[in-house]
Parts: sequence; structure tokens; C-alpha cells
Amino acid sequence: MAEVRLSQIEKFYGAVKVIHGIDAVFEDGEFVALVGPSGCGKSTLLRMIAGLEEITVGDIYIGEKLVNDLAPKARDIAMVFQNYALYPHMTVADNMGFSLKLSGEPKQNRDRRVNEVAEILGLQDLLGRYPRQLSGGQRQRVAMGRAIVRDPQVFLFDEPLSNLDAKLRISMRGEIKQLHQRLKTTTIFVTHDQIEAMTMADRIVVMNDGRVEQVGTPIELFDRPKNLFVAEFIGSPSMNLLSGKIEKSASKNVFRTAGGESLPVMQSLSAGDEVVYGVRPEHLTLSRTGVEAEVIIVEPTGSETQVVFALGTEKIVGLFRERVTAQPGDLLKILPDPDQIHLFDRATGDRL
Amino acid sequence: MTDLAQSAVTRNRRNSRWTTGRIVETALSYLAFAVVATIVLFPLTWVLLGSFKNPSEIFAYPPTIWPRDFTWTNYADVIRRTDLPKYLLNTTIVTAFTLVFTLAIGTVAAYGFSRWRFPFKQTILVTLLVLQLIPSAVNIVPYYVMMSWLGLLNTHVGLILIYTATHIPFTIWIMKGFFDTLPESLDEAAIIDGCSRFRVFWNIILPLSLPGLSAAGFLTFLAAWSEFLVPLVIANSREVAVMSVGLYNFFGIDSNTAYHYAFAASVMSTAPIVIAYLFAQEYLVSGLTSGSEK
Amino acid sequence: MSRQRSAKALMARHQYIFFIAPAIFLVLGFTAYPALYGVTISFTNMHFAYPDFRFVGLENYWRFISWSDLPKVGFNTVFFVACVVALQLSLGLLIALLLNKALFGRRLMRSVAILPWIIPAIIIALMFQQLFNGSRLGIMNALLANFGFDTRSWLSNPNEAMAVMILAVVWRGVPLSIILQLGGLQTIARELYEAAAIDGATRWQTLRFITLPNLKPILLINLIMITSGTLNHIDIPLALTGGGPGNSTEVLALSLFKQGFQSLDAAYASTIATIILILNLLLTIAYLRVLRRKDEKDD
Repeated sequence: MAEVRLSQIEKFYGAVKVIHGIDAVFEDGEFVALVGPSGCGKSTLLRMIAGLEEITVGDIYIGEKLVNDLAPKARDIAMVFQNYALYPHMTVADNMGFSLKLSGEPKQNRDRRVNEVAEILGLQDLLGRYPRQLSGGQRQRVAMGRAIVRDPQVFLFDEPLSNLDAKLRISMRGEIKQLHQRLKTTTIFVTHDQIEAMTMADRIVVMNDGRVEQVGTPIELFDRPKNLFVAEFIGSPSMNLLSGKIEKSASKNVFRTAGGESLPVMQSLSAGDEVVYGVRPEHLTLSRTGVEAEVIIVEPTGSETQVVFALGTEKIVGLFRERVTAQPGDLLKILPDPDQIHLFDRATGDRL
Repeated sequence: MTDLAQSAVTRNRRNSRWTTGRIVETALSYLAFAVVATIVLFPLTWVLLGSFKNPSEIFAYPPTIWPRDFTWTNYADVIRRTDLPKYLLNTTIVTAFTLVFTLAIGTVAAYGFSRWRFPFKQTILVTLLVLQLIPSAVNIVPYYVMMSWLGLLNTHVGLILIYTATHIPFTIWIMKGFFDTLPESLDEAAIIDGCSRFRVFWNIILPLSLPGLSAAGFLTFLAAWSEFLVPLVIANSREVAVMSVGLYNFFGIDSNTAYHYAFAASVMSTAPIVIAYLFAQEYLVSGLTSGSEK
Repeated sequence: MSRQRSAKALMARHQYIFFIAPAIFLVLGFTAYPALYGVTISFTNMHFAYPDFRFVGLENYWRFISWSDLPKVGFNTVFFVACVVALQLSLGLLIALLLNKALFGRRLMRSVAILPWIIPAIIIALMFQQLFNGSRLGIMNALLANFGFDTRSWLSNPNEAMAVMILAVVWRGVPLSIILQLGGLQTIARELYEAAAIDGATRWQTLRFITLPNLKPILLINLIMITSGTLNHIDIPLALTGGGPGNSTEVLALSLFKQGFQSLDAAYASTIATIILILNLLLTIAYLRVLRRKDEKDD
């Protein structure tokens, strides 16, 4: 097991720069998620760690070893692909044992190792089958088995769950996390699904447009997003963001929306600042002291109710534990929890 | 495709009644097909049956279609009294080497074209396609001159060289089309597992390409086995002659005397292709269209 | 740190060269090179009977233009190619439409219809020689006699020899036409037919407004392929009629062979080859045009 260190990584395709100087350290035994919208460079970064893409500028270390010029097989990594990439003409056992066969491991050791791993993953009865005879979840497990068999220093996962249906995805999420807790191998997991990242990872790297936007634990990202991009990307439903100004009214700062509604703020800011005001839907409450907003849509899910309001000219979403019986067109008073307000500089997008 | 066709058939059965119009149309279709089948099969059957007739029956008037008594004498005579066995052996040697070299060089190149991005790739591919269209008729005089430079006139090596070069382009097109359908993550998984690029090709990609390989292999086999003009010009001595040259020179236009051998010789010369066709047929149409479409 | 280009990485990026180089050298060496070399021979007086040759400029081309057989050979070539193209394309289309129907046993039918394609040209030539033997022993003559018609001399009659030659080439060529057009028919989405059926199209209208327009690119490609294939075809004319009787079935490609390997006039044969090459080039340009247009439509 080893840490993975990225130093000033850049990637060009011809003259196009797709990765803009990334520094990061993934610690030994850590489960890190690389998350971001499609095209943000997260897969490219993973493939550079794997050795499938050339590094244009910068260094990658696995453990103490500089791996820039090492072939993938020499990097002591294993990778699980989005489409599993199981060899269709080999049995499950052969798929899992292929890397050991290539490295010249005697057949006896190979079989023993494959059996061990098959047991961990519950694949004992499938070893003689071919990939086409397996269900999606089973293929996924074989792909992981193939990775585990090698006992690598680092696991790399490239969107491994996105080909599964919703239910299976949730259960595989748990399985992968359990597996990591058991094996304690450094794991880098690429996904576009922030919920996947939040539920599985020890730490998350949020990427956008070839840059790292923020690195932190799931809770850090949720509670203190460093900028507007992270604020909007993390959390579901996503954070309400309203543009407006800070004003001083009766010795207290308030936030004034473009439409003229005022909302409370705790932070001490000078009046006149142009800001973006963020509040998560679950941090809105129904309160007699709140501001009046018109109900547009009510979506009860049973455990909670999501309500879309019109606040002046802006839309704002609230998520309430209590049942809301209002009808579209009704007026309700809503109040953001003042301790859970996020303010961002309107010009730079950075957290204030 | 079979599933689709199947479901189309069952759906047809379910949805449409057997109206008079449909019965008439179906009957006409089968009738039209019977005409096609007759035109295709009559000459072939006549040759096949002719090969079992007694020489006396072949030269008798009126000609018969069904042999009065089946006999293997023609085959025995062709094998014992003519050089056809030698010609067939020569053809087999030339075809076998052509097949191995064409498939080896062609599939390796197809893998290169399928898995790497490089400048002028599309131009090179189209150029190959265009070069493929240069007919052997146009190149026949230069072939003769070149082979005499290389000292390869009247050798099998000369034939194998030319056949291999002229069959590589379509092999590349068919195989590249096939490789493109295999996800690249397979290659990457194998590379991470420790394969070299060539090993990926050999251990992973090639075993998955049997349909394309059969199609390309059959086309090469068919062309090499049947080639006529090139061997007629550059390898026409009795010792190295292939089947087509042998048949032309020694059963050719004016040899009415060998008439009764010709049937059996034709059957013997065509049988290997028909057998190969039966094996390759499964993959042939899909492989062909994938190559010809683009 | 500046951009790194280690030797190893460079190797990996350019490894494709090892994969494609053998094929490219071989193909260039034995297709492009001879074609160009042939063109240069046409400007010399190379003759297989004499060791030396020299540059003679356009002399062979003037000889070609004033060649006494040119009108006859030219007419034969145009007539031969036109007949073969018309028959092969239309029969191929009709049989492809037939085979595309959901009929019981159509796989077997397809195998039968494609069969002539795999028969070697030399065998077809021998077979047609015997089918159309001019004596009363020929099976065609026997059939004609059987139905009370006059027997014919076939291959020793100029017009009948041409007809037999066309028949033999078409017999062998229709299958490829079927394969291509069947492939084209099968790419037409079934939804189109279902939509047409809902719109109330008749059989004829469906063919006219759905099938044929969608098949047009394939038909065009096929047309060009058959034209160039027939123009370049030597095997069956050579083995079936040898251009005879007289020069009544001599086509341009066959003249090339006769000039080169019977008269041993390599330069003159190369001149004819160059002219055939130019005709092929024009056809190829047309082919690539159609392909490109088809690609654009597909996108």
C-alpha cells in the first residue's frame, strides 16, 4: 500500500490544455473520490495515474517511486473500468488470474489466490462461467476481483457503477466501501455522481474544467464549500443561490435580493457588497418571522416535502421534514437558518 | 440479425391474414426464386453429373443430363494421367502461404489503424482503398518486369508476394471495422494486467475477432485460389503452374480431346472453395458488408 | 518542469508504425509502384523480345489513336461493359428485394443465389464453353433442339459469342451485386416501412418512395464498382473466347494482354494499361464522392 502524489500535473492534447496543473496527495489507505461534471478531466487524471495517458508536464509518485515513465504493469496498480472490460473469451477464473499468469506465477499459486478472492466476493460458484453468462452486478464483482487478485498498491475505479441500475448501484456502493474497509488499499474512485462520492469516500476532490476546485471530507465540502461551483455541485437538491447586496438595516446586516426581498445574514460584511447568497433547501424553515414566498410546486416524498417557491423574481427550493399541505398559489413564510448561510463573492465566486 | 429476422417473421404471421393477395405474392416469390435457382444450379449440376459419366456417354448424341451409370473413371484418369494433382498442390501451397501472410500482416496493420491516432491516418486508409482498386490487368506488364528483376519468374514466391500485397488492403478494412467494435478498455485492462501491445493483439483482440477473420480469410482464400491472369503471366511453366493456369493451358480452348476430363477436373478444382464457403458462410455477409460499407 | 518527452513514451506513442509499416510497404511496392512504373513504360519502346529500350515520348499514344482495331475494340468494350452493368445491377436489385422478404428458407436461398460468386473464372469459362458448345453435343443446343428450335454455333458466331461472354460474366457477377444491395436493404430502418404502412402506402409506393431512395448510395457505389470491375476484367474473355472469333469479342483489357504477352509489345500494352488506369481513376473519384456524400448523410 502506498500514497499517491501528484505534482503540478498538466495534460495537453495537441495545443489544447485539458489539465491545468494539479497538486494532490492521496494518503496511504485512503478512499478518495474524484468528482466533477463530464469533461472536467477526472478520468484523464485517473488514466494518467494508471499509465494509460501520457503525462505532459508534472510528476506522479506512487509510494516513493516516480512512475511517469513506468508502464502500467510496473506501477503496481489495478483498475476497474466503467464497462468492466472483462475478456469475453475467458472464464471468470481466467479473467481474474490473467495478470498473475502474465507475471509468470505458477498455476498452483494462481488458483489459490483466485479462490481466495472469489470467496471474498462470493464468486466461488461462477468461476467456470464466461462473462456473457453473468448479470451486471456479477460482472462488476468479477472486475473488482480481477483487480484485487493482484494485491496492488492502489485501486483505480473509473465510473464503475454507472452501467448498473439504480438499486444495484446503491448496494454495490456499500459493497465497495466494505471491501475497502477490509483491504485498506489506497483507492481512487472517479465518478460524476456526487452522492456516490459523498457516501463512499474518505475525501473528495472536486474537479471542474481541468482544475481542482476543492479537496476535503464529504462533510467539509457540504458545510463549507470553497466556491460557488462546489456549493452548487455538492448536495441534492442543490443549494439555492440568490444574487443581491448586503445592506445595513437597524444595525444588522441583511441580504437584499435583486427583487427587493430581505434575508438574514450572520457574517459581518460591509454594506454594499455584491454577493451570492446560498442556502441549502433543508436549511429553510417555515416560520412566521420569515419572508413571504409563493408556492409553485409541492412534491411530497413521504419522509419529506420539497416545495418550490417564487421569492420575488427568483425561484427557491425548500425541503421540509414536516408535511406541507399548501397548494400552488398559496403564500407561505420561509426563513433560512442564519447559521447555515453561505455567502460568496459575486465577482470571484469565492466563499466570503 | 437472426433474432430480428425471426421476430419479423413471427410478427408477420401474427398480424397479417393469409389473404389471396398474399398467397399469390408468396407463390410468385417462390416461383421467381425457382427461376434464379435453376439458372444458378443447372450449369453446376450438369458439370457435377457430367464428371460421373462414362467418356462414351459424354461424347454420345443426344447428350444426357443424368448419367446412365455413375463411374469414377474420369476422376481416376484425371489423377493418373494429367498433371492436375500437381497443379492443385501448387495452388494449395501458394494459397496457404498467401493466406497466412495476408492475415498476419493485414490484421496487425488493422490493429494499428484501429487503436492509434496519428497524422494522415484517414488519408492512408483511403489510399489503401484506392490502391486496392488498381486492377491486376493494369499492373500485369510491370509485374512481369519486376519479377524478372527479382529473379522470381516461374516461382511460387513471386505469386505469394503479389497476392499478399493485393489482398492486404481489404483485409485491413474488414478487420479494422471489426476491431473498432471491440471496446478499447479491453486493451487497457490487458495492458494494466501486464500485456505488451502485441500481446494484447494476440491474446485478447484476435481471439475475439473470429467472425471478421473468417470473412477476410475466406475472401483471401477465394481470390488466391482462383487467380488466373497473374500466374498465367509470371508462373506458367508446367512445374509451378497453379490450377487455373493448368486448366487453361492443358484443357484450354482447342482441347476437345480432354473434354471428358474437364468435368472431373473442374469439380476437383472447385471443391475446396465450396467446402471453405460452407465453413465461412456464417460470418461472410456481415464481414463483407462491414468492409464494403466504408 | 518542462514538457517531458522520454524515449519510452515516444516509443509507446509511435508503436503503431511497427504495426502498419509492413502492410504499407508491401502494398505500395506491389500496387502503387507497378502502376506508376507501367505509366513510364508506356513512354518507351520496351519489347519483351529485345533487351534494350529507350524513351519515345508519346509515340505509343499516337499509335493507339490510329490503331486500326480501335473502333472495333472500343465498341466491343462499351457494349460489353454497358450490358454487364445493366444486367448485373438490375438482376442484383431484383434478387436482393426477393431475398429481403420474410420468406421461409431465405437463408438457403441466399446461399444458392451467391454460389456463382465463389466459382473460379477459369472454371466458369470452361463450363460456359461446354454449355454453349457449337456442336449438337452442347447441352444448350440439345435443349434448343428438344424444344424444336434451330441449334446455334454460339462461340464461333461473333454476335452469339459476345452474348455468351456477357452471360458468363453476369452469371458470375450478380451475386456480389446481391450481397451489396442486400446489405443496403437491411440497413433501412423497419420504422420507415411501418410509418409508410400507417400512411397508407401501397407496395409500389413503398418501393418507389422508401426503398429506392434509401438504397441509392449503395446502388451508385455498386454501379461504379461493376463498371470498373468489368472494364478491367480479362479472365473470362481470355479463357472463354480469347477475343474471337476474329476480334469480335476483344475488349480493351484483353487487347492489353494480347499486345503484352502474345505480341510481346510491353510498351504498347502499358499504353493501353495507362488508358485503362485513367478510366479507373475517374471511376474511383466518382466512388469517393459518393462515399463522402453518404457519410455526410449518415452523420
